[in-house]
Amino acid sequence: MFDHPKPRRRQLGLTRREFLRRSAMTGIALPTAAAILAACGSSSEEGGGETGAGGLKLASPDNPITLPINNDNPPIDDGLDAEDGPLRIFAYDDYIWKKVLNGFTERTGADIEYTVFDTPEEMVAKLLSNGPDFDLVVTITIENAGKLATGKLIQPFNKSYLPNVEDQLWPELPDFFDVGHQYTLPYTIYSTGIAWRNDLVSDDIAAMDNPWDVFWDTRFAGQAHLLNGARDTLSVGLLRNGYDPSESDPAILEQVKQQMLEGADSMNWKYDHVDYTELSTSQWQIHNAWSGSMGYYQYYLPKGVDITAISYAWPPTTPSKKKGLIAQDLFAIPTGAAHPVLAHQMINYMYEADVALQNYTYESYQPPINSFDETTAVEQGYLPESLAHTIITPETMALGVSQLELEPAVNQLYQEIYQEITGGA
Amino acid sequence: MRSKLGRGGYRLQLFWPAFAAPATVWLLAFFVVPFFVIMAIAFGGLDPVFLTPHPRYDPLDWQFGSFANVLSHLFVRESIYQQAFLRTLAYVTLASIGCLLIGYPVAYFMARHAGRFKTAFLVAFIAPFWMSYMMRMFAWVNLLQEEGYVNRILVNLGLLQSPRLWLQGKPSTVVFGLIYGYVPFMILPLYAMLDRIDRSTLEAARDLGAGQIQTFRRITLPLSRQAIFAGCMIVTLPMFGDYYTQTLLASTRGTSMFGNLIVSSLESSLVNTGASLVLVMIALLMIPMVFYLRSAARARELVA
Repeated sequence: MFDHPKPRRRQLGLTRREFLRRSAMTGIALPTAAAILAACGSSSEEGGGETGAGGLKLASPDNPITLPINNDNPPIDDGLDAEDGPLRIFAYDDYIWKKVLNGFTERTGADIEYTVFDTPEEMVAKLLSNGPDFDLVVTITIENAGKLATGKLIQPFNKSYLPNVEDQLWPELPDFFDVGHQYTLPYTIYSTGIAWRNDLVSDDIAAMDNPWDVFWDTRFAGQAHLLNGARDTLSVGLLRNGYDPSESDPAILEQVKQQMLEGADSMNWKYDHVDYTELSTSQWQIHNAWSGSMGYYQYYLPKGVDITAISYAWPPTTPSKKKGLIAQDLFAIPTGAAHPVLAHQMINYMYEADVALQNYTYESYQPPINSFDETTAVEQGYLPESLAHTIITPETMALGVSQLELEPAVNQLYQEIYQEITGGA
Repeated sequence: MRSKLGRGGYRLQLFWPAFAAPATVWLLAFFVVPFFVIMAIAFGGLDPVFLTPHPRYDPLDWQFGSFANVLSHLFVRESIYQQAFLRTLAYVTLASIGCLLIGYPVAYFMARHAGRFKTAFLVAFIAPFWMSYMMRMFAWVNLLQEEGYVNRILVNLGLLQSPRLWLQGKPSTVVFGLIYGYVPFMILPLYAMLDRIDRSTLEAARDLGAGQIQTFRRITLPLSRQAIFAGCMIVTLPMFGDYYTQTLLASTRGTSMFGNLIVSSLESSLVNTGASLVLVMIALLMIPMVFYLRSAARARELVA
C-alpha cells in the first residue's frame, strides 16, 4: 500500500515575482547559448540528422547522440571523499519521499536542502542563472538533456561512484538522447495513456479500434480531461492519427490542430494532470493520464468505490496496437555543483533495490531497475491486479514512443497551437 | 523661494513632501522597474537555444513584431485574443454588476440598520475572506461538484430536478466565482461611504416630504455614487487579470479569460506574446481608470 501520495507536478501558475526573476535570468543565459553554438560548430563532422536549438543535433532513436565530454566540464575524479554537505536537491515538489531523504542523511551525515521547481521551463531558467547553487536535479526530461549537456549546464557522471546503477538499470532502456547515460540517469519511467472510471463508462476503451478516439466521442462531452502542456495535449491528436508525437510537418500539425479545435468545442475538454482527483468524483470519467499516477487513486476515490473501478489503457498494449507515449524523468548533476560526490552518492543510493522500492511506495512512479516489476507491485499491495499492466517492463517499454526535442520554430508552433486549442485555459 | 523662507522655511517646505518618499521609492521599485522589464521582454527577443526570453533594455533595440501581432489579432474576428478579451469583458461586467447588487444592500444594511451589531456584521462578513483566495476557490470546487452540497441543497429544495454539472466549463460558474471572490472589496468602500452620510441630511429630506424611496434615490444614491465608482474600480481591475478562478472552476477553452492567455504564454516559449498581452491589458484598463479619475475630480469640483 502506498504511504502518502502527493500531486507529482503542481497546477499551472506563474507569479509576477517568478516572471520578473525569469526575465532577469535570461541575460545570464547568453554565454551558455554561445557555448552550445560553439560546441555544435566543433562537432559538425559527426553524422547528419535534424538540428534543434542553435544548431544542436536532435536526438532520436534513429539518430542517437553521444554527448561530448569537454575538458572544461569533466567528470569528477575517482576516489574523492564525500563533501560534508548539505546536499542541495532541486526537484519537483515532494518528488522524493522525505523518509528516503532522511535515510540518506542517516547514512552519510549530510543534511539535505530541497528546492522546488514547478515546470521544466522554470527548472531550465534556474539552472541557467543559479546552476551551481544545486547539487542534483530531479528531474530533467529527454527533450532538455542534449542542450543542457552541450551548454555545459550539467556535468558528466563518474560512474565509479555509481555501482548500483551498473547492477540495477535496465540495459534495454533507451538512451538515444545521451548514449551511455553520460550526463543523465533515469529516475522514473512511465507511459501516457487513458484512465477511466469503468463503473461509470460502460465501453471498454482498451478494446476500441482506436482508443484515442474516445476523447472525441461526444457521449462523453464534458467528462473528459486531457493532460495539460503543449507536448502532452498535442500528442493525443497526433497519436490518434498515427503520427509521431514529435511531428514537425506544419501541414500535419495544422490538420491535427483542426481536429483538436473541433474536439475542444464539442467535448469541452478540461486540461490538467490531477486525474486521480478528477476521476475520484463521478463528474469526470475519462482522463489522459500518466501510468505513474495509478498508485494514487486508492487514496482519492470516495467511500464505496473500489480501486478496481479505475481502468487504464496504454494503446500500444491494447488490441489496436496504436502508438503511445513513454517517458523518463532523469537525474543530472549541475556543472559547478559544490557537492558532486554527495550527488553521485545520492543517485547510487536511489538505485539500491530497497530504497527504490521504498520511494516507489510513496511516489508511485516506477524506477526502471531490475529488482522491481509488476509482481512486486501487486504482491506487496501497491497496485491492484487490474492495474498491474501499468507497470512498464523492458518488453512493453519498447512499444512506446518518446517526445523528442523539437527544432525551435517547431517548438514555437506547438506552443501556439496549444494556446489556440486551450484558449489559455 | 529658499531665500524668502530661509533655511528653516526650506526644511519645513520639504517636511511634508518627504512623507511621499517611501511610496515613491516603492512605486519605482515595484511598479516602474517591473513595468520596464515587461516592456523589455515584450519588445525583446527569444534565446535561440533555450527559448527563454531575451529582454532588450535599450529602447533603441526594441522590436515591435510580437506586440503588433497581438494588437492586430485583437481586432481579428474570432481570434483567441479577441474571444478571450470579449469574454473577459463580459464576465467582468456581469460580475461587477453582481458584486454591486449584492454589496450595496449589505453595505446599506450594515450602515443604517445593524445598530450596535454593525461591527459584528462587518467582521462576520469579512471573516471568510481572511483565508486565501485560492483556498476559498478550492472549497467551491468541492461544494459545486455533482454530489456536492450545492446540488444536494438545490435538489432537496426542488429548485433543480437533477444535479447540475457546475464545473464542466460553465460561464455562469466563473462569473459566480468572480462575484464571490471580489464582493467584499465592493462592500467595504460602499459601507465606508454610506456610514458617513449625515443622518440629518436624510431627515431633512423626509421632513420636506420625500418618501423612503425618494430619499434613497435623491439623497443616498447620489451621495454614494463615488463609492460605487470606487468599488467598481476596485473589483474590476483585478478581475481583468484574474486567471485562477477560471482555472479552478472551469478550465475549458470556452471560458478562458485574458489572464489565462497571459499565464499560458508566460509558462511557455511565447513569453514575448505574454508580455505584449500584459501591455495591451494595461492599456485597456487605463480607460476605466481615466473615467474614474475624471469622475472623482468632477465630484471634488462640485463639492468645492
